[in-house]
Amino acid sequence: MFSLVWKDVAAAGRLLWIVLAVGAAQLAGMAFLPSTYVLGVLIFSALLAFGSLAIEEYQRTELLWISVPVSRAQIVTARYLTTILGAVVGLAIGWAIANWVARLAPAAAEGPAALLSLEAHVVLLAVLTLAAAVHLPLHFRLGAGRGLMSFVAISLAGLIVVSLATRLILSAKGLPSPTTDPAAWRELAVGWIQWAEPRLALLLTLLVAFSAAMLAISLVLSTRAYETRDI
Amino acid sequence: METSGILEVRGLCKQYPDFQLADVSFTLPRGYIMGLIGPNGAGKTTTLKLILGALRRDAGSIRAFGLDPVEAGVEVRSRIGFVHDEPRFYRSLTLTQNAALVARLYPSWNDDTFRRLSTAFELSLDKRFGQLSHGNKTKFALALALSHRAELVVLDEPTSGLDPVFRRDLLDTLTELLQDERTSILFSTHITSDLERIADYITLIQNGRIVFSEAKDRILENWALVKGGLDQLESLPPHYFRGLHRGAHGFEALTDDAREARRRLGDSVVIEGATLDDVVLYTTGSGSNV
Repeated sequence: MFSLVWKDVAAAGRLLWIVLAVGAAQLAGMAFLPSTYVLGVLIFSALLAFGSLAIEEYQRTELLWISVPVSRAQIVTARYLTTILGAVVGLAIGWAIANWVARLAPAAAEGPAALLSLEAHVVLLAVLTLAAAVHLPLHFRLGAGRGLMSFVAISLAGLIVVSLATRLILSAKGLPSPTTDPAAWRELAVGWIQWAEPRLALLLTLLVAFSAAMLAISLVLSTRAYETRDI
Repeated sequence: METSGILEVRGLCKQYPDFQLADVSFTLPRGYIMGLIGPNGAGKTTTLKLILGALRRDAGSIRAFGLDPVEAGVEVRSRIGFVHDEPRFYRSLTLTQNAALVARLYPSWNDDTFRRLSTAFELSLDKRFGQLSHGNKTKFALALALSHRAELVVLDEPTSGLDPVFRRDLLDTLTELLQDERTSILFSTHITSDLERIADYITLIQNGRIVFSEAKDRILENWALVKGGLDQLESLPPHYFRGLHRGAHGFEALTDDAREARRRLGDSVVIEGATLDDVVLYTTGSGSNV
């Protein structure tokens, strides 16, 4: 199993070092801009998490691994491990860089202070885990190209649905909208944050447990899909 | 042909929207080489992928070492060395690094054998896979396939794109492999002269169906080219030949029963031994205008 994880890491070779070096430098630059940093660290971690899929597809080595004495279930499980490993490593590097930059320039650390917390990175890991839980079954069922297209389509559709549903709920409950009344919205958001702060550990645990459960279901679906797929 | 072998394929079917592999059956006995021949798109690679378990069959059975490659895929693949028509490894890694990734997965990997074969094939192990020519990529894939004591070596068009010298060396290597009488080779190719040199059995596949699967010597003994005048052709029943080419003044045809043709036509025609190339050309219709 770990031989299969290692081959994904080894296959990235020099590209991995380039991504690490460039990504780390960019994250250091983004560390003082909360929204940019979140976007940056998510992209950086997603690259590390899903990059080996792209390498496998680009070099068309899938048939090689189908020809060696490992089961398809092992191939799928190894891919999940590699993905989560990539996400964890990406976020850990991001967190370490952000903390390091904040220490070098403490005056500038006020803005992104919350982002530099470990809890914030755990939330990002849960987001990436959920993304993997949706993307990987599509990848193993449909192949790399169609799998990615379907994932992008589902993600965009999901964002639109969530956005519309949020607007409808806010409107139905007579709550302010962030676009029409930003000040009232901010006040409302602060209220939610105050409610969540004392319950942060519980909420984080629930989020992580939910992500882990989704990933486990996703692993079962991926294994079933890959075991019946023609390569 | 033996009724049981290291590889037994029975009634194998695979349906695609535009192609169907139908009722493919053959047996490869232990210690022999079988050539799988046929035109492009005949179903050779599909058959090999089904044996490997990369494709799921719709019907039929495959037994490799008595095991089903779908149910006991890990066990079966640990005993098979596979060379795909276009070897794929990580281009940015050296041959040593690529080999190390594969070697970890074979319990019976023999590094000495790999090094010996790499030297024999004149492979520079420090080179990156992406820098190799097609021929050297095939050599590397072959060195890997032969380095884990495989009992069955499956080669999908391994000699296409190789120079004649290496093709000869490759065929010698494959023949050497059989000296232990334990290894069998299933070899798909469209270069029939390679098979005339080394194959014990020939399986011809066309349009997803087996035309024949027989011992090579028996094919070369029984199959013959018949050349004669058009008037002699008129006296024969339709479909007497397996393939026929009519010219302006005469005909050239392929028979699968040289003895019967000799008895029936006597000295009125010229009967000469058919090569595998002739057999493929006439039976697949490429050389026929019947």
